[in-house]
Amino acid sequence: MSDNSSAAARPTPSALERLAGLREQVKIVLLVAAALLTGGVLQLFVEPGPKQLVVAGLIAGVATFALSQLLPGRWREVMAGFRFASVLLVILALAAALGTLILQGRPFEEYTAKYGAVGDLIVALRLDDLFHSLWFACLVALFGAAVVNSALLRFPVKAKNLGFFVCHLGLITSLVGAALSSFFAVRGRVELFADGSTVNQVYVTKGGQVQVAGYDARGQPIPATAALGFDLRLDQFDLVRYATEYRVGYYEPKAMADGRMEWRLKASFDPEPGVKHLLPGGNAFSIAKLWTSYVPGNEAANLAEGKDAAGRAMSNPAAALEIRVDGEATTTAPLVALGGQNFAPVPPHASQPRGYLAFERREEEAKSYQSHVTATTPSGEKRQALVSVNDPFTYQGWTFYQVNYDPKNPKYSGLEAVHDPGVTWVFVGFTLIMVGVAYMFYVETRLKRRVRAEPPAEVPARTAA
Amino acid sequence: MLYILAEHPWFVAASAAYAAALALYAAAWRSTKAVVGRLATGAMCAALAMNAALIVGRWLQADRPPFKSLFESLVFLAFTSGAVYLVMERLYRTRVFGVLAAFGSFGALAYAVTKWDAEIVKLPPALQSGWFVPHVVVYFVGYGAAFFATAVAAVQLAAGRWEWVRRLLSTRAGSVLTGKALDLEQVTYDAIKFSFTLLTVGLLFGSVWAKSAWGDYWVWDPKENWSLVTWLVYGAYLHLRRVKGWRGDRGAWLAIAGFAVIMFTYLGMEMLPTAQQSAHVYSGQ
Repeated sequence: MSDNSSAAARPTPSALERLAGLREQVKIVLLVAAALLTGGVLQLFVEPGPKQLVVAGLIAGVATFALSQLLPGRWREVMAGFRFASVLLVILALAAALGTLILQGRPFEEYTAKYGAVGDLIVALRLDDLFHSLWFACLVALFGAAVVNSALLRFPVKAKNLGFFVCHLGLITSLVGAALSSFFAVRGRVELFADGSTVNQVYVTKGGQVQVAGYDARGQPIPATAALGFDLRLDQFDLVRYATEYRVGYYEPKAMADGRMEWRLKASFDPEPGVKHLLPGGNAFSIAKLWTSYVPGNEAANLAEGKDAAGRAMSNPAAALEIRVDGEATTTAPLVALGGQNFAPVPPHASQPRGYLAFERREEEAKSYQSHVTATTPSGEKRQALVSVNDPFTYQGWTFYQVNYDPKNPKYSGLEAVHDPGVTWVFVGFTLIMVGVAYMFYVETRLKRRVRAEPPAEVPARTAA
Repeated sequence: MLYILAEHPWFVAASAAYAAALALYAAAWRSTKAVVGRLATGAMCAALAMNAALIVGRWLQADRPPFKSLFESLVFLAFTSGAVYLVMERLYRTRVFGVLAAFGSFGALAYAVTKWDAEIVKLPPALQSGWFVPHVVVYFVGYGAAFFATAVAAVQLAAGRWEWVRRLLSTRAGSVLTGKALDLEQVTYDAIKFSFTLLTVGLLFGSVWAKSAWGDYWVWDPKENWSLVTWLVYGAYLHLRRVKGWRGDRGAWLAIAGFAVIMFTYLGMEMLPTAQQSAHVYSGQ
């Protein structure tokens, strides 16, 4: 019989069989491409939003998982494999990096203006809000399905693979928590004034911008709000600033990328009379005289001397600097910190100085700010609390974060209010990931090593029947 | 240089000690005397002590943890890289990688000079958190371990190409270099496992801190994203190691790529078009 006749006798493989027979690499490419395409096409018809993202991700994840279980040809093994996991991790990494190379969340016109024709493509592919696009959600869903598959394939849980399961359970828990956050979380702005007034709602925000619920009869936007369920009052607002201090600063020019020249603070020194300081470039200076309250024309008054001079109370301080260049000393006129001329060039008489020494007052930066608030429920139950940066206040499902203040209005306090039922699960997931990774690398390895080191169990000698 | 010498003697002393350690570790390859290697380790310990003094001094002077500016963080990176190396030296009983480790710490301090920022910046309220120190320390020890892994991966690649590197690795000089064959791939893997564990903890500490400061555990900030990229790349390395054909040179290149991503995350944020959207760009950069 000829070869041709045997080929003719062989039945043509069905599409499913052809799919089953594909190499692992091809299957991986198909899975990733399918996820990207599905998300890409879907977002042409569905406007991406937090709920849409979660629903699409969930459907994609479940569908991928179901297909991996039903399709013949080791699809499940491919999806549970290290190669597939690695490819997904790299693709997610590329997506995360891409989101930092393209400006995110800007008005559409800005993309066209900045990137030209590519700008339209960026907007069309939702690369302008990449992390909220449906193709990214599908990619994350694929990752979720891979995590579940790999865990199921390695079931049951034993001491030797406990870390793997804990870590992968943590990943899934975090993803579920993030989905819950996307679906149910409400975030908003609360602006309080310490004038006895109360607020009982938050202005809902997205990406820091107050959302619009609709428009009134005059066409003015109506901000979206969410009810707190209780009244919140600002009793007192505290703004603590760092203590005022005076220092001698040394500035040098730095050429910026856009051609501008900017004076940069290179070093600064306590105002201690008589202490010699070297400057970058080898020049030196010392404070010849320091006045705590300078009176022009009466240079003998209010002189401060000694090492503790810098710590004294200063109302109108001034300093005369002795600048030493190539062994030659020049003493400047009194530099009044709060006056117009508080700096001197280095070298003192150079037309193009290398730098400037300035006797200056440091900005009084905010050290901390905090709100004393009272929450009152409709039933009259009261709760007083302090809200400060890094120390939020949680009440009846809402958490308040101190995020803003107005230096010109000491009675104003800006709080961020968040109601997020998913966050607990996210942090539970994070903890599981940490514990799982540590166990996997440092406990499982020891357990496996111990098993390898154990002498093999004696095989009972086969006795002749 | 004179300025730094006069104003910051611990900085110069630490740099000089790292340079001395570098020279001694290099000399240990040529010398047959065991004492040279011990001296190299001693110099490295002295350098670390001085580096620690620099950090503690700055901490006391600033009255806050000295991790705010790029300069301060580079000084800390020099310390953590050196400290991680010393632990590895003890663990693997070899001084083969001492030159690279000392070079790394010295390089971090040398780079810090170019970013000189002696001005002590006040800590804004958001950074006054109990999470600040653990987050930074865990990350920088992780960076130190990643640097060590990269150095070993680079040696592994070089040994596969050049005979003289192979000879250096198997040199037996007194009791300094044992001459015992090292499984470089395994050493890289161990260091990356350690680094990945710390990067995981650091990333998660950061998200908990962000939640308590701003109410969001993740805002897709460029620095957050690149920390995630680092984690994902090392995650890929750890998975691919189980795939046939991905040990050896390919794995070493991936380890180096992971460290390149770390360095970009640490130093490259200013280059990104989205840098202005980030709350994490160092002052002094």
